[in-house]
Amino acid sequence: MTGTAEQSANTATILVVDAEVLVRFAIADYLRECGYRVIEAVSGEEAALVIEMPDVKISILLCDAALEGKINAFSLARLIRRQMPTITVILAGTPAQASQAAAALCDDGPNLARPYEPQLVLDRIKCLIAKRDSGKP
Amino acid sequence: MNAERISVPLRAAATVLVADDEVLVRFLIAEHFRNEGCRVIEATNGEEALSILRTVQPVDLVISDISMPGSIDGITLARHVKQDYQLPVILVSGHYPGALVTGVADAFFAKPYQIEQIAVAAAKLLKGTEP
Repeated sequence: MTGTAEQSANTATILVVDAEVLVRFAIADYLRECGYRVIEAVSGEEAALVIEMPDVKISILLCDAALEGKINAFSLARLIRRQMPTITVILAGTPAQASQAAAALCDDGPNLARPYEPQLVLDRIKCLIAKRDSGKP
Repeated sequence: MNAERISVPLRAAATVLVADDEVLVRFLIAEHFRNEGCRVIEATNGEEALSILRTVQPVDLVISDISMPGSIDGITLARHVKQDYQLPVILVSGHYPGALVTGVADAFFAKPYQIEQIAVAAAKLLKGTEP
């Protein structure tokens, strides 16, 4: 990882969206221990509010693919694609169909499995940030 | 959104559970306490807060909004916390709840509050729970 990428990784802000508190807390806590700034949202509606905050620059969205509500995971991914294309989207889930549908909206599939394997999530985030900072497609 | 730093020394490594259904308010409080070195767990309603308390130990302080969706509001949560976990509780609300908070909360702040007010109260309460 280059110096620039390392710095970016250490200061990157990750938005974790998950309706299950214990899942959300566990992965958010782990990512914070790894040095990231993490913002937690319980729903797509909350996430939409967070990404509109003018002085918060989200680098990565990590979202449960099975997220329900007025703004579900796919709606949120589309919203971010449209309004905040610099945010890298990672959808996580187990249902194969949902994963396949999500793949078209995500960066660098395949998608992460959920329940999360923390090290895999961290590796994926590091990889995506490094790739983004190196300017490679 | 950047939480302002305060000079009130909080107990680093203390675990604070913040329950609020408004994401931006919750984030502001959580970010402030994290910047002070605390571990912060976020809950978006009373049910989530109780799930955390049942599974994540130890929690040293609970900060909760009173008005939250679901069957467990802040008052009910505070009663559970006091009865089952004997932890200090700070309640906040846009409406003054009167005598409802007496005996269930160690401190109460009406919205809009200054984050420093909560930090000062938290520092005092956490000092009282030091091992």
